[in-house]
Amino acid sequence: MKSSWTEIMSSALLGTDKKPLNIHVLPEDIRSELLALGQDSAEGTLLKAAAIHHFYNRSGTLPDKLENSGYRQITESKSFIDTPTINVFLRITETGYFEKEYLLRLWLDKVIGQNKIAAPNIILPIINLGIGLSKHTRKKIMAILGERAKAILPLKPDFKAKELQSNITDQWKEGNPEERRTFISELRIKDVDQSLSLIQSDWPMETIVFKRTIIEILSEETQPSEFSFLTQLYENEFTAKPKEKKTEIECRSLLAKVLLKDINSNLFRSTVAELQKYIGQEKKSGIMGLLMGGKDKVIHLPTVVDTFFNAENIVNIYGIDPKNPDPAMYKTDVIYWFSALLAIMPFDILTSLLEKSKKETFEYLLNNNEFKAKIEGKDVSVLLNALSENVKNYCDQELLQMILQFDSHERKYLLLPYIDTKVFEEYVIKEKLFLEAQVITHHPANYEDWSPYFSVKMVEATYKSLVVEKKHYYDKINQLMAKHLHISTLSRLEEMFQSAASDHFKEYWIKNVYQPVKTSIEIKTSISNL
Amino acid sequence: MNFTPAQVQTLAPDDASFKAGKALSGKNQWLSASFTERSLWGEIKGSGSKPYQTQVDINAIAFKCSCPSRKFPCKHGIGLLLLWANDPSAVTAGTEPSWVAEWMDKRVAKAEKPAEPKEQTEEDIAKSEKSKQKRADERMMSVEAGVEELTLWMSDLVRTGLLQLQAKDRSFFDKTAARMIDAKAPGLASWVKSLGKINYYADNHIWQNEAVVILSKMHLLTSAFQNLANLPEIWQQTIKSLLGWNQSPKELLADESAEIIKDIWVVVGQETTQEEDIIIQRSWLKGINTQKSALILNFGTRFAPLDISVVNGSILEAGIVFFPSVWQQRAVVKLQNRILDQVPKALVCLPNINELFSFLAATYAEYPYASDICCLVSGIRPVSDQERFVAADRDNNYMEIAPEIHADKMINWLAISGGDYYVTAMVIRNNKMMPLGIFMDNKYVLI
Repeated sequence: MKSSWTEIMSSALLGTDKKPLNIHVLPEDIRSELLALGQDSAEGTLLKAAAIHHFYNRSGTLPDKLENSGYRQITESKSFIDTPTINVFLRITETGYFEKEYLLRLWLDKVIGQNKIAAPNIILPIINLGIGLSKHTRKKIMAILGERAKAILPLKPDFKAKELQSNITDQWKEGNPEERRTFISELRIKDVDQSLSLIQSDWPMETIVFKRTIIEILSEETQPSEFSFLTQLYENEFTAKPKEKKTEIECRSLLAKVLLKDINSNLFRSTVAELQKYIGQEKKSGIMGLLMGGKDKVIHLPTVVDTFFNAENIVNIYGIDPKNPDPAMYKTDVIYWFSALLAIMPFDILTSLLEKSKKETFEYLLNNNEFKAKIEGKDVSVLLNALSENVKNYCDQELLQMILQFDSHERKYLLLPYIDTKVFEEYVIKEKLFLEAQVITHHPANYEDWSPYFSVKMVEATYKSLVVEKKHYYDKINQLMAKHLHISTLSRLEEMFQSAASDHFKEYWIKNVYQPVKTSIEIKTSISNL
Repeated sequence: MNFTPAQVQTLAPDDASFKAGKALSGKNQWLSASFTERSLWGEIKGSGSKPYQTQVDINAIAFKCSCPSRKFPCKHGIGLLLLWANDPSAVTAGTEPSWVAEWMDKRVAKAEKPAEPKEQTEEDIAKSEKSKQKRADERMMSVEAGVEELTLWMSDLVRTGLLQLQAKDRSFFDKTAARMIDAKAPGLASWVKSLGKINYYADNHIWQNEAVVILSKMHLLTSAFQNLANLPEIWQQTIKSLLGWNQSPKELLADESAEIIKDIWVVVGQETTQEEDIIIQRSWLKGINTQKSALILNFGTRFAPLDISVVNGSILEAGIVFFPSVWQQRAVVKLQNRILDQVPKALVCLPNINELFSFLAATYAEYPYASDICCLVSGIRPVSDQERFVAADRDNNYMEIAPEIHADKMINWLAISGGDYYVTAMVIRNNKMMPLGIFMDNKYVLI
């Protein structure tokens, strides 16, 4: 049969001029059918033969067979989510890009809490939605996928399920640096001893760059068991030595910062002892001094470098980047090194040495003429940068609030990521910074709602700007409101919707504030009611 | 009838309208929302002083809204239907207010009694018949000339050999296709175009086979046309339709003698494609009692939206009229009574892929030009086999999946079915399967 079709094909391809079809090679059935159709030209005969042969072949074709059926009946151990839960998910899929992941996580947490799995009709939509979302969210998605969903995950490689599923050895031993970093950070939260054990076992084989990464990870909320490992590193591997690499000094710097946080560490104790040497006394100033007498503890720094405050010593002990001090800013090199140390040591060391409250210590450091410089005709505290850095290292909210009242806007913004929710909201309300996207972006509530009071304040401020004063602001604010506004804000939002007269700005407000926020709040409410 | 959000999506004129409708599908957004057995309506606050009144005919899908939107259906119609689809309890059973009853009554009256044709005198009729005959004769002559020209073109190709096709550029085929359009034979033009669309960079074996098969079918068709006078009436109509004679749904609906096939019809699948500026929607229906398959063609343009009365995945109690053909396929819905929630009785279907092959062979024997053959086959499951998808039966016989089917559709089939065997609705196109949906219990689920 194949040869007769080959015969037809070769005649067709070469042309009947060169190779007319020999109908005698055709099967008897086809030949007789062809003859029954009557005489035709050579080309017509060829095409008729091809047509008959084609249908003849097709009618006799049998289906192919799978070699391995691979069939297995899938049984689920958990029950599927119900229709209302599915409907909430479908609403989430229609929300804006910025609030979608936030709402999805709330929904996923609810479903995980119910110990249920995604219903068959939303398996594909939820996997598709997860593509490109954070690993954390995808892990939550994985948690609600049942057996049938897991069976299709290999068919959706973009979801990157493998990196969420592989076992400890795979990820730690074979992952790229980023995967290993993520892996160890997450394992550390779940099982600090296991993470430390893995780190220690492979430590000698790690590159210096990855060692720095690990130390960075361990610097965050260091656990007691990790302190001894880090102390060991500080005292042995990263102790100062000739011809050090820059990364090695950076490792020492990170280690010093961690050890300074531990009042039992040798470094903490030796630092306190060294600083003690610079604490002196002088008569109290002002009326109180005259009335009460007594003496104040003060800092007496030498005017020239000494055995402690000198570049080599500070680099060797604290790994601080040995930059050349700016003479316009720092009257002496010692002040520069003091300021560098102030940035990384606990502020309480100074309050305790000076026997002052935190506020008094802060004011003392800022108002002391020794620590001031004239920049562009203005008196500037040279320690303010160091104090800001200190806030970043220790997240000391009291110190942070003091800086916020004092400092320039630019530097305040740099400190915003370190503020806790309550302080942040109070600060924004006090300073009326509702429309400053650069500020609001740093609200500490990442996956939480803003407080009801703050939410209402935000809604009122944006409404006032847009609808009453007809002034636009950066759209990011609206995106953040859609994510974080507290559900109790809806009633206030509805009042505003009803009140204002219709115009272009109101339409804009409806489209960009009212509708997305309302949808988001409705979804959040639905999720909490599931 | 409960619509699913996916079905409502198919009714939206575009993605933006669906999204806008979705934003209006919250219970709190509607001042009122009610339904009866035939209608769904609601009032929603818009930018005007009065709320918009939105209404939907839920049996013969149609929308009406008092909003000024030029889109059809508007976002309010989509939103209302979505509200009902997502949360039926959010819509209360009620009595139609006058503004709904009036519209619905008019629709029912129109469906029951189509507009009377304009009265014509005998003279008018004779004149009209004469002019119709003249047009038909002219058309026939034009097509005959086209067929003659095409026969010569094909003969030249076959005489000099098809190896040359690989070197031809697109204009070679487009030019001949345009000549067939001029000859009023658009059906032949499509065949010529399909010859031009072959991937001549594919394996030689593949494109050469495709070219020979297409040319041989074209030759059969032109030969049949040249022999038209000797063929039975039904074959004549079929051949003429294949060559491109129009089939008018309007005329078919007006034809009192056309047989109405009443049945429970499952709209098993829908496909929308665009050819140049024309949007073509194919809806495949399967009759539960008659086991007949029907194809409803629906055409739209940018300015004339598609008719939305046939909802994908729905189950209609309806009367359908087929265009006359040797192999009845294309049809129009003449009477649409109601939409059902579930399939009322057990389905009759082909038991496995072997039987499907036999059925296909019998179909091609009856009508070699059969395409897009719609079938129900039991015990079919999707299989992901060596980086491709196939559909297999319990005997492990399988059929390849048509390239038109996106991988996500197959994955969705796997997700919904759990990889298990179900009665599957499908269309067979070019010997490959286009899976459309599965029957689970009494429900039809689109995949």
